[in-house]
Amino acid sequence: MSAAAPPAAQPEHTDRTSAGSAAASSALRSRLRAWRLWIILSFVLLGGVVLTLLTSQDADRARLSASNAAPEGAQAAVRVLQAQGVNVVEAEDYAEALGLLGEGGAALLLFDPNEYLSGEQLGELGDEAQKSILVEPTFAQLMALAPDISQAGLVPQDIIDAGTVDADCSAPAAEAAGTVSAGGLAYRGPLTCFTVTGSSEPAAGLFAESEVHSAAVLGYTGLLANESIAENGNAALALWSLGSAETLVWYLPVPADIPAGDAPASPFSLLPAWVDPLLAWTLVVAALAAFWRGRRLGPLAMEPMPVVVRAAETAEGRARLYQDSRALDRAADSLRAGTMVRLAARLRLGPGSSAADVVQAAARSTGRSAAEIDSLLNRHRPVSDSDLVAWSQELTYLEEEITEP
Amino acid sequence: MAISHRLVILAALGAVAVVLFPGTGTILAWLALTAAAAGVDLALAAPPLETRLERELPESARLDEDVPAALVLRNESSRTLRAAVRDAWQPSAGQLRSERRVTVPAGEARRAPGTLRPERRGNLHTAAVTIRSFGPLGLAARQRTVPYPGTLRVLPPFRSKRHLPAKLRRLREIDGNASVQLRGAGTEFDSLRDYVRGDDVRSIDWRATARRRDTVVRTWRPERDRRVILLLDTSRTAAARILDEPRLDTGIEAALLLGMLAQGGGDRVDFAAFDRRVRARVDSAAKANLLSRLAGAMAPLDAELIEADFSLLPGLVASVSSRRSLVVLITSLDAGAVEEGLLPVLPALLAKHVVVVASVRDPALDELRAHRTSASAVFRAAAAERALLDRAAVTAQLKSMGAEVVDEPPHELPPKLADMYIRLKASGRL
Repeated sequence: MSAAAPPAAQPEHTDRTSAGSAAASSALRSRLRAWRLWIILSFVLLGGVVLTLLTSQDADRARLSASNAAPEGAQAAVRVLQAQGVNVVEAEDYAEALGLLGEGGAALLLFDPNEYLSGEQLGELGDEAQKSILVEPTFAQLMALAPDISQAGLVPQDIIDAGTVDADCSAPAAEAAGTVSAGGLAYRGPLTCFTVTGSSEPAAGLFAESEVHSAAVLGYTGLLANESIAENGNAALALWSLGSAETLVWYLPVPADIPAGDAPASPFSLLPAWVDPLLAWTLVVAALAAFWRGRRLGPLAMEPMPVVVRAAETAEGRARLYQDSRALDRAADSLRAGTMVRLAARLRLGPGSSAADVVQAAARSTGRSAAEIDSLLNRHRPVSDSDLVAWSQELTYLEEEITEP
Repeated sequence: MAISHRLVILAALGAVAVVLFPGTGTILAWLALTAAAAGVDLALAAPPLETRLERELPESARLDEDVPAALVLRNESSRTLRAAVRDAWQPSAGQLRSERRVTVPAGEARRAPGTLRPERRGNLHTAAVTIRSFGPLGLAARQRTVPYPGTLRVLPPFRSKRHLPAKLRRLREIDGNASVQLRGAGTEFDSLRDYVRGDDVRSIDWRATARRRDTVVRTWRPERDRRVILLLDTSRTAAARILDEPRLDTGIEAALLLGMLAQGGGDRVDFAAFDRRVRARVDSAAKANLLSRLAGAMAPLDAELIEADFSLLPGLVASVSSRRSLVVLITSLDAGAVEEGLLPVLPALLAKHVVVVASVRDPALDELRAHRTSASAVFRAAAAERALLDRAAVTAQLKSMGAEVVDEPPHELPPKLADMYIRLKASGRL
């Protein structure tokens, strides 16, 4: 039953002067003020979304990622390989890597320090790849893809301190490189280059190749990383070993590639079949119960509260002012005047009596000396809070003495 | 729309079905069953807007007394109305059971009785009535709120009524027509009567005695038909709470007691409440019951946070009476308000009338003044001393100008103000 707005309420835009526009702008302003919170909130939300979008574009921070331009990325090596005519394809996950390799004639670069891939998956990759280049491979990866190459431990610290390693072998890649940066892990294979073990046999080095040239091992990520690829002969070694095939599949496994195994039996699987539906139905019943209890019988009633102020509040406020400004004299004067007035009334002195009259009368009434009462009533000036407390109590005692002799 | 506990129980029964036949199908089926039952019930419920409402409410009520407040529902639809009704009284109206159940057959009317126990003086309001109309199964209901404003005037409690008989008795004693024969105080000649032992010999009328050959005394009585003008200050100072009561409520008690007493004493009572304007007015000219008119006028008064304009008082008093009257001003003796507002206009009032200034004294100040155990307590005591001294100075100034001052704690003020009236009347100053 919505009544249409009466025509008289329609604003007349045509003959409104500046007053009309001022009213309109003030109405707009008040509406803006009413919506201010929501406007600010929506701006904050918008800003957050934009910021997230901006930062997420730069999200590829993986080590040796082909599209990572950071120091630990490998974009430089990839760009150079592409410039040399090698078709470098980045594989997002295992299935894509397998598919790309399945097209045939492709080499595989695999860097999987977290061992996301199982032996079975590694084997399938090895079957499809024309050649596998493994960076810092683990034992399982070597077993699957280059069984004739084995691990030989960390590169000794003195070699790393020296900084470079010499080729020491006849592989064309090694010869082209000459020397490379030292670091990472050492490997031992049918063909071992850049030996880090000195003259001791068998030799272990940063570069190893299997007998049939189906697999090569790079023992140091620094050979490919943007940060150090330009040093020594790192670039030459990298390009020689990676550029042997038309297509290079650049594959860095991700956690999603972990093969789904047999999950351990969940205790929930032992529950009867009706538990889940019952839980869902309980939710429905709970929602209904909430609606039943939550629906109010009509709007809330307002209570107009009258203004009520505690009467002694002004006195207490004045007391705090006295205390904050340490107005000892002022407080003492008030106390003194109050006592004087009451004493004068109690000692039956008229309203015109002087302070000296009160002192004399009080001395007669209490039997104390006039000088003592005079110093208490008129001369004493409290100098500290504790002094004020003690003195005010003295005043009270004097009053009590005179009231109840 | 609203649902009842029955619908929740119906839904909860679905759990049995779900356990017996687990699966999405069972859930959806039971959900459909519940929804269908609620839908049918809703469709069969009487439309709440086709109800005519009438509120049965007394004109005014006393504080802390039960007030019957019934709603009559006339069902104008063709279906039976099974309703839960709520009248949206403000909380201080003290509605005992806000939700009331009532069943109204089609075309008939039923009363939904209710009770209010008001907790506050003044005009209490309700804005709307909400009707929740259930279907025949009682599962779901249609709910509508109908705007239907109502007001209940709650009168001041007049607790000082208990003082009234004693004060009236004293008034009769000075009136000379009490059972104890005292010489009637006052200045107005009343009558001649025979001398009885104990009468004041000064009141013997010798001329009449000579005529009658019996000793005859004159009796006097206090003046009657004088004007008493009660002025109640409702400005910011009246909002101050002293003990458990705002100063305004104490003032109302005092004004009621004095008004009733003055009426008993044969005087004519006028009342006005003011701050910057006249807020309420009771005229002595009207004939109806004075108590109900006074209470009715005082009921809706609330203190406002504005300064009182005392300058309108002379005009106000002049509009009531040009004769000499007793002007009782119930206000506060706060130094600032009185010095700047009241003192300048007081001479104009005193020139013609007898003025009594009544004020509530705060016992909390005396407590603060006596408490002197720590530094902050002593500072409070000093501030209280200062407030009391200021008050005493104002009182002295008012008295020196010729006004009477009654400054008492809340429970004492009404009887003390009545005593002041009796004293003035006995001394013939009216």
